[in-house]
Amino acid sequence: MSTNMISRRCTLQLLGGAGAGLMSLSMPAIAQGAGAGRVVVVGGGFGGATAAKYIKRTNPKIQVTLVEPLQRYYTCPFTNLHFGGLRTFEQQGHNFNELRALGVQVVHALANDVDNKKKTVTLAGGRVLQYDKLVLSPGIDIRWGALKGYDQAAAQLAPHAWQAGPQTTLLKQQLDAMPDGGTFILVAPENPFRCPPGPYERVSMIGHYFKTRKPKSKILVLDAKENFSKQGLFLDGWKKVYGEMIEWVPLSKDGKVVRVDARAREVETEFGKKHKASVLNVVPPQKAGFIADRAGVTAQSGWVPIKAETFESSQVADIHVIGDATAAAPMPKSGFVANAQGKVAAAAIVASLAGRPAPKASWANTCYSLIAPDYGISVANVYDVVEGKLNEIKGSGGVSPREASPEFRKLEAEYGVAWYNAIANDAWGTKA
Amino acid sequence: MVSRSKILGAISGATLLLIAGAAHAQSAGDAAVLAGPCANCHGTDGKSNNKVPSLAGRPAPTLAALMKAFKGETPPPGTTIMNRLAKGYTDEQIEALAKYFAEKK
Repeated sequence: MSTNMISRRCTLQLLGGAGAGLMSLSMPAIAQGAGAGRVVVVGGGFGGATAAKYIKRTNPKIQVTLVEPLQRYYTCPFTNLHFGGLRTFEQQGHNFNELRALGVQVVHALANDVDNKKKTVTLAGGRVLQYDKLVLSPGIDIRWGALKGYDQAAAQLAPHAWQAGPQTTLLKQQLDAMPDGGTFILVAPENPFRCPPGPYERVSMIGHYFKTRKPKSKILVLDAKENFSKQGLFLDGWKKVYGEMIEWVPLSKDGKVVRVDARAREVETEFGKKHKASVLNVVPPQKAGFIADRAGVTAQSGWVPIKAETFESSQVADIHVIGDATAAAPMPKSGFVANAQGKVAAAAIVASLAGRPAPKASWANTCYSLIAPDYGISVANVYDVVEGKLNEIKGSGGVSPREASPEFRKLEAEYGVAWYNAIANDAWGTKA
Repeated sequence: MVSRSKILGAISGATLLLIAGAAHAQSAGDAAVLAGPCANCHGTDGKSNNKVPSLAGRPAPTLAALMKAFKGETPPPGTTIMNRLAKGYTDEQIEALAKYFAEKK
């Protein structure tokens, strides 16, 4: 801690609460270096890249280190369009050049451990990073074995493709190799999970691929839930665009899969019915990325509880957690929300290091889904904090209208692509 | 190490100005956070790289009037999602957002 910091604290005691703003904002020459500190961000996805960027651009004096194993980060959003044949896999890849240019130290390594008392992060290879504030944006880990028969070996035969990378490529290869007339089965999990409309956009895009390349093929969704995101819009769209190709089986119609035989590409439901697939895609139960557990911020649920105003862990001070890893209902686990949470956490951290209270928090979410190349739908929401809890603002948000013109659907398809280009640029500075 | 007396001297010299500055900065921080999610479609600082309109540098009254129209019973023709989002903001927040983006060049 700098001597400036100490003298400032003494002064604050004299001045009282109002002094905080006076000192840090209005006396840069005297309090040089005030507000600085060391921030480590773990995870280079929508949440982490955004948090690192917004901390650095708000106060360049803060030393920001971003830890991300991958040189090039591939987003899960828009990989469904890859399955639909609308985009290459590479189009979902983003580098960290802009963050480096901003002065963020980007370290390509896996964060192995966090000591929340010594305030250190240990990287694979043994390097230790000291932090004043830690941001964890680790995304999800798969709960291997939580669904009987679905372990790491099974995922090599029946991919989840719920983390972008080799799993995405594997599923695409299987779809490409599948003969016309085959059956694609997607196993959908209970809530909560990453990207609530994701499974349903995926089967839409695979429907588009089948319709254009393998029109005799079928799609079956076996769902552990009774309802899903944008349900009415998806069901309408599937019927309209794909006729009888896509069948959705909810929980109440024995849709819940309880056992997977990846080798046979066969699944068994709660009431013993077996379904055989040509290509089997299991979206399995999930939890917060393991580093959150190492940091002591994960709860029994497998997810990370946070303080609404700042996204600081409610269990450990000076660790902020953002994105899919958090228990942040009513917010969904989406890339948009991870980015929005990253900005709120960034503002809170910058303020805290400068001895100021966090600005008033606000978030929004917009999720576009593509049913067909010219048929987009969306859901939107705005959030604030009421009595210390995350709150969906009454009267705001909602889904696209059930009745809408083809022009409206086409516009939303175009805005979906526009969203991706904008958010990729906002988080990584990359041109999509 | 900066002495306390030096700091206090500097403060007493410009107390009124500083208090005004601090109050303004706090609300500016709120506006930046409020504006955070807008970037995800309209671009960082409201500078769009796509077909969604830019917000940066447009007159505050224009932006505020648009947001209020989105919020109203009859949103502008061609509206798809802004009517749903605009309803999440108070008129005061809309004014703050409009000012924030108008000042971005």
